[in-house]
Amino acid sequence: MSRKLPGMADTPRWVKAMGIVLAVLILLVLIVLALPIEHGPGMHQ
Amino acid sequence: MTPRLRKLALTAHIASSVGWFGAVLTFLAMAIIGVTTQDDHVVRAVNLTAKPVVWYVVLPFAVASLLTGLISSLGSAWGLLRHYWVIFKLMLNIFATAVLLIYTRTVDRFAAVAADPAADLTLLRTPTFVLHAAGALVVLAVAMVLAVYKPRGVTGLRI
Repeated sequence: MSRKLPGMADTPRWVKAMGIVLAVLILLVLIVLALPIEHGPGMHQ
Repeated sequence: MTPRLRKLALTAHIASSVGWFGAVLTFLAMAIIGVTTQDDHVVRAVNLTAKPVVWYVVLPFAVASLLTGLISSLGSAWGLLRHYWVIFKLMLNIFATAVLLIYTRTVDRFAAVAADPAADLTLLRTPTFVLHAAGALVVLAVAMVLAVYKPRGVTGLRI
C-alpha cells in the first residue's frame, strides 16, 4: 500500500492531472509572451 | 440568495457561456474562410469584421460568463472554492479571458492592415485566428464538461 502525502490523500486523481495540464498551459503562454517576438501592435510595421 | 435569484444567475451564466462558445465558433468559421480563400476582398472583409466580433460579441460574453459564474457559484451550495470542478472552471474562464484580452491587440492590428488598401495581405493569411479560436473552443468545451459532469472532489474550504 503506497503512502500518500498529508493533505493530498483526498485529492482525486483527475484534479492532479488537470492541475498539471493547466499549469503547463499557463507556463507555455507565459513563455510565448516572454519570447522576443512582436505581438499585436507593431507587427510587420 | 433566494432560489429565484439563484436560478436567474444560473440562467444568465449558461446563456453567456453558451453565447461565448457560439461566438467563438462563428469566429472560427470566419477565420477558416479567411485563410482558405483566394479572394483578397474576402481576406480583408474577414479581418475587418473580426475586430467588432471580438470587441462587441466574444469579449462581452466572456466577461459576462465570468461575472455570472462568480455570482452563481457564491450564491449556491456549490460555492466558489468548495469543489475542485468549480475552481477549475474559474481558472479556465480567467485564463481564456486573459488570453482573449491580450489577443485583442493582434485582432486590432490585423483589422488595421486589412483597412489599408496598400498593405501586403500575407500577414492576414497566417492561421493565427484559426489556432486561437480552436484553442478557445477546447478550453470552453472542457469547462462545459466540468459543469455538466461535476466530478467529485471537495477542497474543505467554505467559500
